[in-house]
Amino acid sequence: MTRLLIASPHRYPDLARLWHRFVMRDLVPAFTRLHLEVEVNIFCDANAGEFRRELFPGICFSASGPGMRDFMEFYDGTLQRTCDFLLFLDADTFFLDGEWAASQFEAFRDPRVAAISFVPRKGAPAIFALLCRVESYRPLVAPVFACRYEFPEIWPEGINLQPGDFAARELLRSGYKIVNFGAEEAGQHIANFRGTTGIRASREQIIRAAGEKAFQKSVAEDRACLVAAYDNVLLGCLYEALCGEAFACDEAGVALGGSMTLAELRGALEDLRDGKFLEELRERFQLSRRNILRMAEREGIALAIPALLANG
Amino acid sequence: MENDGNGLVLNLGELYRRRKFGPDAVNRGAALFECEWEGGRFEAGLFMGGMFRAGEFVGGTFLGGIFWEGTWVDGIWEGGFDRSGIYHSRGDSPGTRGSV
Repeated sequence: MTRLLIASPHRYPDLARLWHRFVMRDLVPAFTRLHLEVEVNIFCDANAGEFRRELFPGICFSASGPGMRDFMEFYDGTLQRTCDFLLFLDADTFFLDGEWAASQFEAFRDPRVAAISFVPRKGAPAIFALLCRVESYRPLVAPVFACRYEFPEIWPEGINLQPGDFAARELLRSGYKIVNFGAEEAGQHIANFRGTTGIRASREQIIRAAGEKAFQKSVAEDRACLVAAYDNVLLGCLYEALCGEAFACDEAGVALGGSMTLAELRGALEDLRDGKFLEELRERFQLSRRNILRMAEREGIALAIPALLANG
Repeated sequence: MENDGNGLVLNLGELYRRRKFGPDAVNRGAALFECEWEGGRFEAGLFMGGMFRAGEFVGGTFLGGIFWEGTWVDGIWEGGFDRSGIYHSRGDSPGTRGSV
């Protein structure tokens, strides 16, 4: 029987619970109907002891250690697991329509198709939701999936290849194809957030190394971080409604204190004076709101979302 | 940032982006994003996404930058690139690799 492994690196069990709900309800049954043997793996990139196994039925866990020290090594390590196809699915990427995802599998009838990228980065294939044929990837020079910095001697003008980019380029050069869904089509079937784990990990690292003030400054100056902070507010609304617990708590148990609290985010936004920047944020926030409401609809619940900016 | 008479001292809570620091700089806790470090002493703080061209890394966190050359004495390697552009994972510091 053809084996599919769905795998994802996680640092935070609360986000992993949301991920787990959508994967087990929507993706696993849809791919199983294709007569695939489906296994689901969560790699605990940190906080392994906080992942309570009873909350994740049907999941095979792995944790960081020798040979798989972080999420970057997780990708290559997982490629060597026993499977024929491998779906890497980011911790904050949610398929709303498992049937649509499974229906794309027939593309692999073409032996030149090495992968299906369901969510692009700047229009190109990306690892956010990447379904790979492992026999196409395994012969590539290791590390296959790790990021690379090409032409470091001309930094910062070199090329910073993100995880999976090098492999994609090598495969395309060898005559393979990667089915690449554009953002618009992907958005119809997938709720995709970005950097929601990154901002939480950054908070830990920056505060530990340079203090709270440096973290707050770093977020206030960075559009992607502000969006990620807002996305965590939204994911927190859904998580609280579904699981009855606060999301992204800090060590004191403050909701969103491990990301950015609503008050901190409002404060950072109030300090912004660049109208264009604010407008971009407003548009991106609206997209995130639509995504979380679609997830709530899929769960069959109504969701109350706190207002953030003036005029909503 | 202050000048203590012997050189530039970067302190806890400060944040710098796309700045260049020479051999007279000492970091005692600032966060450096996409900065160049050219010969100073990195005692504490965060080096994120920049170019460590020379100097001593004796403490703090290195994350996502390029360690081109210098002396790695101690600190937390959260991930980053060597001078060939190859990524080295958490825990695999230039000190443990012996590459510089």
